[in-house]
Amino acid sequence: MITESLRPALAVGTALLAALLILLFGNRIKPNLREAITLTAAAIMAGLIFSMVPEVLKGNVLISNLWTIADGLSLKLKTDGAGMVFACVAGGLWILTSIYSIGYVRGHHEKNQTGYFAAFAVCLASAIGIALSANLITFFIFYEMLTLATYPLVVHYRDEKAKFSGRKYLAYTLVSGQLFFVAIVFVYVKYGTCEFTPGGFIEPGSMGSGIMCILFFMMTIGGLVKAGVMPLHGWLPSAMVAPTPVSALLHAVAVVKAGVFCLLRVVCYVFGPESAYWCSGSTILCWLAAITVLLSSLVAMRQDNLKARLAFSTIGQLSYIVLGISLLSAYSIAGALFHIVAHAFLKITLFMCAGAIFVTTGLSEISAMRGLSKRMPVTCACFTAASLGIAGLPLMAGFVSKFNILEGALIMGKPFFMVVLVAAALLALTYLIPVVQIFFGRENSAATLNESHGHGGRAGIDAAPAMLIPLVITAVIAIILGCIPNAGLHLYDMAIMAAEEITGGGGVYLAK
Amino acid sequence: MNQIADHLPVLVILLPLCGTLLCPIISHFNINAGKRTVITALFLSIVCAVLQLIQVITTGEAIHYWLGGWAPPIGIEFVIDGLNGVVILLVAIISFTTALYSSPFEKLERIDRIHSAGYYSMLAFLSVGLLGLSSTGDAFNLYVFMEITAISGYGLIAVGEDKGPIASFRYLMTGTIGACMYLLGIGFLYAATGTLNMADLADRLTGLMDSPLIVMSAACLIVGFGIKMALFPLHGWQPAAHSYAHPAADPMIAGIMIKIPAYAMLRFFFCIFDEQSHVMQLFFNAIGVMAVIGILFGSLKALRYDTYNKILAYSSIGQVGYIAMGFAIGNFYGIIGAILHIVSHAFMKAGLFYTSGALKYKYGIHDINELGQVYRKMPVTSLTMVICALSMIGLPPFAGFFSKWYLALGAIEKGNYFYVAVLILSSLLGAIYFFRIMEKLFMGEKTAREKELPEKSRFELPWQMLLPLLTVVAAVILLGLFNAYIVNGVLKTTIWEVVLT
Repeated sequence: MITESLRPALAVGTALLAALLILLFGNRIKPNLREAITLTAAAIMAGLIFSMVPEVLKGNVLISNLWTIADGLSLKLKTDGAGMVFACVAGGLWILTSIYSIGYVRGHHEKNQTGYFAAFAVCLASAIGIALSANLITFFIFYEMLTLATYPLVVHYRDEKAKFSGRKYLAYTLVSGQLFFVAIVFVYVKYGTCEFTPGGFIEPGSMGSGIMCILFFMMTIGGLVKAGVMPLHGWLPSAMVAPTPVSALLHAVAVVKAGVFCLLRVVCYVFGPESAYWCSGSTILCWLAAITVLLSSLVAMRQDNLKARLAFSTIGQLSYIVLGISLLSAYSIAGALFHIVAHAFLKITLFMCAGAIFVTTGLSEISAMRGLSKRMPVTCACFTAASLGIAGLPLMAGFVSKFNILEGALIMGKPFFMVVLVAAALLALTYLIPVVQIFFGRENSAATLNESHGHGGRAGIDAAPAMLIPLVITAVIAIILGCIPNAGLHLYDMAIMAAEEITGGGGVYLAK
Repeated sequence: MNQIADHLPVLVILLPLCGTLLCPIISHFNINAGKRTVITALFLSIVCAVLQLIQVITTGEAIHYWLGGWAPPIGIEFVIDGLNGVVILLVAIISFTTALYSSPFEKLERIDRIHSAGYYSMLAFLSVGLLGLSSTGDAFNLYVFMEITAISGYGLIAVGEDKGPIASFRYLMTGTIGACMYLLGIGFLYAATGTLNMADLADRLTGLMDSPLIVMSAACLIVGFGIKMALFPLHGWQPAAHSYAHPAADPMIAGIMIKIPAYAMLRFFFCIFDEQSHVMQLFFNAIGVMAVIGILFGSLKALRYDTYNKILAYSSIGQVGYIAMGFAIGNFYGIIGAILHIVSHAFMKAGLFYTSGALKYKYGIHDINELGQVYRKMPVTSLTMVICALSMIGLPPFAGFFSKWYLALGAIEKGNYFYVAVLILSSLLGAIYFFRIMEKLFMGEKTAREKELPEKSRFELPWQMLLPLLTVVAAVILLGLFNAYIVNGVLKTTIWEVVLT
């Protein structure tokens, strides 16, 4: 049943309004009041999104048809299974990252906090917009908004290094965005529609397979860049100069997930599995993803900077999702969607831990963190749990999704990709477990125990509560989702629902 | 009241003309009263423009106004349809905001009675010329208004900065050639048809399109309009003129003085000539080539400069190319893109020149290297700069994105992928030079400045300067979000009925 409802639009509008309020009054009111705006907006937005979940599970679709944005096309938001999975994750995590951000920026005495929180809110508004967009032009508008809103966060420190990363980020995202733009216009002219349709609206054979393959990559390049699929990942490690909550947001919630979500929409809702397979775009995508999964793990092993190691881990894990999407079976697509959830909670935990360690002890290099567990036991425990989850150990969220993707590869009869998937999971262990070993190592390096470091660090046990509580919550959620994938918001059901919608009733869609 | 409503098309132009003539006289007695006369006249002109546009939309047909009651083709006729209704409103708004924006500048320079009166008279006269250019339905009358525009333009450029007179002289030389070319062009048309009324011309030209006279005429017109709108390679006068014009009048000169000839070009090439004919198709290809080279040339040149105005001026050469490209595409969406770009670029470029003027007014900043940390002192100016710049690059949801959208739509529909490639390349080059400015603004080191105005008021600038800045920001955002209402409500029928027939 399709109902008109303003709720999807209100969810996006709340965050935009919050950004506007923060920008206008942020410097005139007390920081506590300013942060209250963020938290209130986050709570309202999460409430709005969660309230739509039962409707979606019942099979209802809520549509906000706002107004005609260009001749023949309207600004339109709608709830479907895939979109709601992403929206729930982004909306839910905004509250936690906001609390964490407050602890981080105050603990670290960051400058330009007003601009920081405003840009953060715009990022979230765009992420929700991307999740709920009903057609390509709405999607593109939010997609470019996300690019722009992330830029001030990347250049937050405004030094030479930040400027360089900012330029790199813009170069990657704007170029790919322009190619995406042309592809959208082309699709609109050729097929007369921009509406996302489960299973796609481009018929195989409606143009030459070579041309379609080019179009496929012009459309997906926007997603590929944001998702950091090699060889288009260059911006992602550079963007690490940003404050840690930004990295957490970029790498776990908004930007990179928007990238994989863009791929999902293009592959499954514009081209559809048949055309994607027919023009051999999805096959090439599989290979790109497989190479990225393996290479990024190898690169991650060599990084001594904790954030850099996590960045390369992100690149690998996202290609897992890309691989799941481009395998084109119902299982793998459901797995990919659920990996958006699982990876979001796991990676955000890891980044929050890295940030908490940095603010509390001033350490950013892994080799200097020996024996950290005595100083920050809870943080280290959460880090360990999340690392195991990333590797895909059973009873953790990462297992559920990876197993589904694996099953998809099995059903599609692609043993090579199964090997890649298993190998990558093991490689994830090899670059994260050594970190855990160092944390729990016997020797204590001088820095971790004796000094209460600068940066306004606290001398007491573990990180400040504003940072500690969110990261414990995300870690716990990751474990709960691993044991009961359907706990709470029924994200797993929604992922399966979306996958069945795309492939037309579940099961195998394409025989090899 | 009805009496007034019947005369709206001429009132729109007559009011600024009265302002022009009265301003020197009133200024003789009271300098402020003279200034206010012009501002009031321009404001009333906006009111008339709005009323006339409403009338066109509600009745759904064009207003034909016969000056002095003389019937065309003998008398002069003003024709207001959906298309130029919008353009007239645009001119009226920018004229008014620019006049308002100018008033604080004078206090700064403490100029005398004659200069003030002269400045405001010329500003209002420029408005008369541009409004007339957009209203008239008579080819020779268009020439008169073109000269009015040019003469006031020369003056406003000459009273600008130190290099102003030279820039103005250069523009005078080139502009005169342009006007001569236009005159020759309509001379040929008159020789071929014996009429100068546009509608009449269109009727009599059917079947004549292959005649050498018409070909000559079209060639002359391209050069004439090309010079006036600074289309590559006829842009030589423009960078200096836009850089050194009076900083307060610059928004109007850069924002609309080069756009309205583009609109006139549209009238000639689509409404008078038969755009389907073989000859015209060749001319459109020529325009397309000029547009493409102009877009790339302008964007590349803009990368080279550190002077804020120079960057903006070269960027305009590129942006005018967008409009010409829309003509070259020549289908429905191409034309829509061109017209929307005339309107949106007018606001964006005027907005950027408003910020440039504000920076000169407050800190004497010309060079983008001096921009460091200005945003802390001038948040509204910086916001305007950012929004206009993002719109110029063509990022959603601002106005510039949608004109690019329609242009790309038109080009792909016609199968002309090369134009699309040029469009996105130019966007990316635009991103480079605008993000360079923004980087300096937000991340640059604070440098020593020529002057610092003592902080007298609560705001960063006098309200007369803030209002234009905010108007432009609102226009760029609203034009972006609600462009479909202009396209469907006003432009669509006019384009199908008048332009593409």
